[in-house]
Amino acid sequence: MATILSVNGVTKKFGELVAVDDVSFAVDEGEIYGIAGPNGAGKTTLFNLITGIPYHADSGAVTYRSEEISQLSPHKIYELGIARTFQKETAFDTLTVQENVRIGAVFGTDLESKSYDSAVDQALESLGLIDDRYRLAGELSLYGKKRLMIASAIVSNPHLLMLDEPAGGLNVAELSELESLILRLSGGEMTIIIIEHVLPLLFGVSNRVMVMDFGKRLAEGSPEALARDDTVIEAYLGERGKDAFHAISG
Amino acid sequence: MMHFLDAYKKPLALVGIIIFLAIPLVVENKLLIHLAILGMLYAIVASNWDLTLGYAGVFNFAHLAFFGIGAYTSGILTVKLGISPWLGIPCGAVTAALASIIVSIPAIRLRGIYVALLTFACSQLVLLLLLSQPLITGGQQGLTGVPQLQIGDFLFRESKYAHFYLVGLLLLCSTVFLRRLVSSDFGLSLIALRDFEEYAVARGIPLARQRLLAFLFSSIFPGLAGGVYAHFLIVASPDIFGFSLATLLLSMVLVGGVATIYGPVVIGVVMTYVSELMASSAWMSDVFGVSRGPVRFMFVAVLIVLTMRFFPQGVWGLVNQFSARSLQAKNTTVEDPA
Ligand SMILES: Nc1ncnc2c1ncn2[C@@H]1O[C@H](COP(=O)(O)OP(=O)(O)OP(=O)(O)O)[C@@H](O)[C@H]1O
Ligand SMILES: [Mg+2]
Repeated sequence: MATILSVNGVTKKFGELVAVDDVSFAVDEGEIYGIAGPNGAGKTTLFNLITGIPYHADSGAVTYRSEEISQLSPHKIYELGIARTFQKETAFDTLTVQENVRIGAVFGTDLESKSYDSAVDQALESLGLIDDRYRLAGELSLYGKKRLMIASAIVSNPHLLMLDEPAGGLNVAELSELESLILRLSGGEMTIIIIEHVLPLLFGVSNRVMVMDFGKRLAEGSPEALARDDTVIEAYLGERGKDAFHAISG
Repeated sequence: MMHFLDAYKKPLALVGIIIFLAIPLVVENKLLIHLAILGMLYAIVASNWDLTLGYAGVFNFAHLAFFGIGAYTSGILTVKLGISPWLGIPCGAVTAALASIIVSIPAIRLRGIYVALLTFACSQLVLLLLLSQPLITGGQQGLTGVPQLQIGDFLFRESKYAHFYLVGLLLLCSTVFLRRLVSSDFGLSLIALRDFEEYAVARGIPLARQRLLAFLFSSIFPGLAGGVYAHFLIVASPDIFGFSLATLLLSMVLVGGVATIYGPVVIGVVMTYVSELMASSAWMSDVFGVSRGPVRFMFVAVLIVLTMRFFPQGVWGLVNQFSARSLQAKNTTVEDPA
């Protein structure tokens, strides 16, 4: 299977702190690639480096479909077909829901101007936002804003969709809705990278998962393999937590 | 009451425009007509400022320089080179546009207060340049002897109507241009960048290009207006670059309502009357016991502060809010027959 994105030895420092430390991984076309790791592990920073928002890597290379993109400006990266969401719910608050999605369709895409409206309608429809289309984005709930962010990302039909903790703060019903949405998008040939703390969701949808801790890549493998991996459990729960985990799970 | 406002918004606006257009036909007082012309010129400058300040959220304090550059370009070309004002005025728009590009290149990468500092410095630089060449620009006294507008033997300043309708037409074109711009996808991209810059670039909006275009588009009509201003007053004065005019124009944008275009247009004319009549009426200075100039600018400053404190959306924002509320009220009554 062809590689869509390959990240080679990227590093990002904030002063003394090495937020992302020589991380490498590759994502295949069409797969769902999960990223897990405790708070502060460097997951969001890694997304930022790949998309150039708001900074690039200090060193290392990011290659997208054999094009080096690690120093490309963010809007150019979007033009190539990489769309991301943000961990914190983010919207253009003074624009309507529909206008928020339209932004994603108009700039840096190869959609023709006459197909903007239908693309926007389709994205609104698939995220269940049709009835809210004329509301101001600032009025939406947390889940509403999170869906809106995804709608504006998928309206351009990106090749690579990068979701940063889409499940944060959602209830059980919303979680299962999100899970089927992700699987549906993936079925439509979109490659997806997803950062998620909600492990049942992450392990449920991902083909492969990378675990990060202290800016480093700790492990990578299938969800089943990782669930048995002690280093992963230790990263999340600590040494004593690991023992407790084994005691419970037998 | 609010239903009334909403349903009759368009006809009301039309009636307002017709009444305004009739001013020179019914009003004999020369000063009132003169102020209407001045007010419309200021309204052009203020509403174009709303494009960068209100929509793009960029503190461009070089905006008045576009107006000044338009005035001096046409003034110098007509006085020193003897070309026709009708050619000088569009030349002013071109130089203003060039200036907007030059100032925008360093400005678009900066944020907040730094943009304000840089653009203010740029406008002061233009002023210093003008003052340093008194033989060409007239220096501190300004460039005098600027020819008035004329078509054949018809002299604009001898007519009660000519300047009024010329400037009125310019204001109309400027307003239509701005409203079309801000309701286009380009306008959407400016608001997106203003609301959330990182998110906007993550959705493919080229920040530098859009901001540069915002500066450029905001400079053209002020450049034209500057030329007309110089030929209307037959002088190009360095006062254009002064703090008092900038404050007055800023008040038009803020009190009128940022990111509305219509607000600065309407309040631009109103504020010109208020401010100029305050300057020319003796009782103001008698009441406050100070000379007239300072009172006027104190008034403008206080008005800005009060607006920001109590209704930051400005006059036009309030109008929109009321009509939106009445629309909502109407919708709920339709949905709920009980
Ligand atoms: N702009 C910044 N300046 C300084 N330090 C930063 C900056 N951004 C992130 N960091 C630090 O870098 C480290 C990695 O942060 P990052 O946001 O990438 O973690 P994360 O894995 O996404 O965590 P979470 O699960 O909480 O979202 C943290 O220690 C964080 O405090
Ligand atoms: Mg994060």
